Amino acid sequence: MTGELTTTTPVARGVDAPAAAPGTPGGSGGRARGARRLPPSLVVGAVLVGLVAVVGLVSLVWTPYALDDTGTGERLAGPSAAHWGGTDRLGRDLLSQLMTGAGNALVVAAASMLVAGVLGVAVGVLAGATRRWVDVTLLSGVDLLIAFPTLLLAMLIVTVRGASLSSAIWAIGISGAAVIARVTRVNVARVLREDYVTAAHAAGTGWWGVVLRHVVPNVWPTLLVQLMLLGGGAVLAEASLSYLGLGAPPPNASWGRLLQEAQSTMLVQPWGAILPGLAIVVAVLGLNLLGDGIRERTDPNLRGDR
Amino acid sequence: MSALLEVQDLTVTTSTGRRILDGVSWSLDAGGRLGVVGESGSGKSMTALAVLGLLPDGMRATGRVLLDGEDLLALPPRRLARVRGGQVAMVFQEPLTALDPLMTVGRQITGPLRLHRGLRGAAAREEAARLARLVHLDDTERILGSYPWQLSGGQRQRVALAMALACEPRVLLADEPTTALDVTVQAEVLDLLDHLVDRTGVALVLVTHDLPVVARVARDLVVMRDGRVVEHTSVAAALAGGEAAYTRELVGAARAVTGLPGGGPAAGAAGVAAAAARRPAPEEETR
Amino acid sequence: MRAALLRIGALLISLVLASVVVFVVLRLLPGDAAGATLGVGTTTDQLDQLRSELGTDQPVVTQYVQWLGQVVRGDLGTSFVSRLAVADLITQKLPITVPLSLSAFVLAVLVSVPLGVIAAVHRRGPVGVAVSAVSQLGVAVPVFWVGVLLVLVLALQARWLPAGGFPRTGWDDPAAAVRSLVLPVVTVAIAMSAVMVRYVRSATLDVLDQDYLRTARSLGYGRWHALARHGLRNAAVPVVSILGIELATSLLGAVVIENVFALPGLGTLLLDSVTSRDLPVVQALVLGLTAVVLIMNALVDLGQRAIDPRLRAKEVAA
Repeated sequence: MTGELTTTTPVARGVDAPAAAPGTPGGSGGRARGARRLPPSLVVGAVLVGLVAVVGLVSLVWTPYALDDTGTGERLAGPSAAHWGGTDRLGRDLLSQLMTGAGNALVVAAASMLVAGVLGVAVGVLAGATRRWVDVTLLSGVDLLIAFPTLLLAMLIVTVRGASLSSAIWAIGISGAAVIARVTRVNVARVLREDYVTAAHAAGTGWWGVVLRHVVPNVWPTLLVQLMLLGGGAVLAEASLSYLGLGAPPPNASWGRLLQEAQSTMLVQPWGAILPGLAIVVAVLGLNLLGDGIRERTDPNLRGDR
Repeated sequence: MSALLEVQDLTVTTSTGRRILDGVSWSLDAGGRLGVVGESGSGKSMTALAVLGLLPDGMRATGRVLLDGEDLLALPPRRLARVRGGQVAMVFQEPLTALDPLMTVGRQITGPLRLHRGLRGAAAREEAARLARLVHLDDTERILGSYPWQLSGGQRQRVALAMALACEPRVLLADEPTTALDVTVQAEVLDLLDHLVDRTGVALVLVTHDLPVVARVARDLVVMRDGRVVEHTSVAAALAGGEAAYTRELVGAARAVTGLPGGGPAAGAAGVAAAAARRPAPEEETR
Repeated sequence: MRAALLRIGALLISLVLASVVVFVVLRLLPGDAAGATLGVGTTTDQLDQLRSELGTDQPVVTQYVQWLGQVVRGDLGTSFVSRLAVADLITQKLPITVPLSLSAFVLAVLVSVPLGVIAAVHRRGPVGVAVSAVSQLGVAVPVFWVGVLLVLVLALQARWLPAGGFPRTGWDDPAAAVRSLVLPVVTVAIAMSAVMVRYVRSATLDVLDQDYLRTARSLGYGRWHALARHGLRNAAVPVVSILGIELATSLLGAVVIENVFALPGLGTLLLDSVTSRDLPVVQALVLGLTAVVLIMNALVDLGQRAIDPRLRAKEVAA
């Protein structure tokens, strides 16, 4: 429950978290069973994300009913053989809308991760690898941005550009970029101080050579973890924006908007309010677990019982 | 004469069933000085923790730890807590992490005074100051008002000793008390330990990998390897050539590196021998 | 003392920077306040007139300085939509949003600190595993969905509490006002607790591994007594660092949750003004909320220094 009301993104918490961010419930004793075995959080996370991805992709080519098809079902019906998820107040099939929502969530997560990744890595590498005054300047900007709540940034951008999918993506992506930049900077600076990098420099390897050979392999697991957590936060944040009516306008199907629309009729047809929420939980939980799992898999310092 | 602290067939197993200690037995008389030596991983520190019932989570101890005939392993947690600090106290290897960084030294020393002896306020502070002087912490007021990280390693270990001795325990378990210290400070703290044992009459169990340290302070010796007791003898007998081959190996190795008495003319031999000579004879020491 | 002044100086600089960014973003990105206010189909003359009325035909720097001067005097401008003073609009909404977010924050702390500590102490036991699992799930649950579910079960079906709205008479009828805030407060608190429990648990686990806790137990302190004496203070250092973020979270949570429960607070005001592009209101609210976050972060830094003498010592040395 962080993304939508987070001041920074949940990822930012990961950065400042004491020790490694809170672990997975089932992860105890992983260390004893050997490093070969995949962490359970990685497996569960991958399965959940995979499920959302497959549903989202299928929805591009096929849904049980067309999204605007109001003809067949009765209105506000519960789940039935014809409509597995029931129907909404206009008689539209809920399952079809949920499936389309999965595609929407994937687009938001992927695009925000892309924006945050590209912007954040660029700023982070620049700050970590260049002169001190550039570092200080960039870092204070990043810190200010981290303190700036994602939701407020989104509202600011929506005020100027209007509610749209791209407004949401830019807001979430820019917020996330601040976190990615900080993580990148810390790690780049750390790696560049290592003896083997100095040795590589001494041996005549150029700057780009050092970055590609030593910095990138050292930094990418941490970045991947942060990006996964960011993806989870992005799905949550987009759902909140859509719920508030600031996300992609109809006919884009967003889980947040589905939930908002079903709220007024939920005494008659509660599934309309329950199912979109469950879908959000599945997607966010999947991305979070995937992030935790990658961390457990790649971080040699992480203790098995955390 | 019945022993003050007697460890009988002490066995410690981990949650995965591995035996870290296997049938360890030894005894310590009132006012005795027992050195427990062995290389790292031999289970010597685990023995001390098991005596106090402070094993890490998931480890289980079986056997008996008799203090005056009462089995500590069978005591309910509350009674065992009264024994800790009050009857049996412990000093750990790393004095920096063993002290709370956010609490002044004075408050850390008065804690056990209040817990076991009911001292509070001015009375507790006076007693803490007396303890600080006992462990030769000069500049007492400043040190009691300091945080552990503001002190030197030797000062911290003295603070830990003061805390351990605060409630006049009958047994002091010292787990590698000088290993983390600078060489010059090691000698000071060892002398202090020697002096305190004399003065307070507390029985000492000194756990260390360092045979010369044992030779300097202890009288009896337990040699451990792979969780088992290899030999339980007197320090003098071990130095004269122990029964077990492993003991002779340890003594030989220590002699080659440092100046263990009875060996060649290595540096420091005289100092250690002098320390051994200062040690009171067994007859006087037993009270 | 000097450090405190430095921190306040840094806070002021961030506040000014944040206000510049917000001000510039709202004016430089495509889209224009005058156009947004008048909507489609207006003549250029009308636009020009409104622009000079708003002062948006002036250079941005002049506008910013003028606006800053007004803010310092307590004048936050006038709403494009309602034509009311923004400061009055905001003041009217405070009696709903402030109690909502503060009580949610306090409730979340009261719930998550004990739960997190218990989860850490019994990390392998059923309680610890359950708390970890629930909080892992909890951070993935959208706050508004929690609100919707609570409304569905406790308000619509059990009819224990109102599903939404706030008494027209406000706090003149305290019982009714409190009743209408119970579900929103619980909703925000649940969302916050899921995050905070994980932090408290993680910080406590760190402390539990520390040697000084073993020292305390070797001196006769019981498990919980030792944790209370040494653990809480040490664990508080990292936990306090997120309290600032969490208070901000509770504010932002209130913004979202007010819309679930149809509470006429700051969140509803913000949403309405974003939807109607009511620039002065958006600007004042975004800046106000950001200021609260920045001030909280500064207070947290100072609070950490109060708890941890090492932070104070570092400064003296530097």
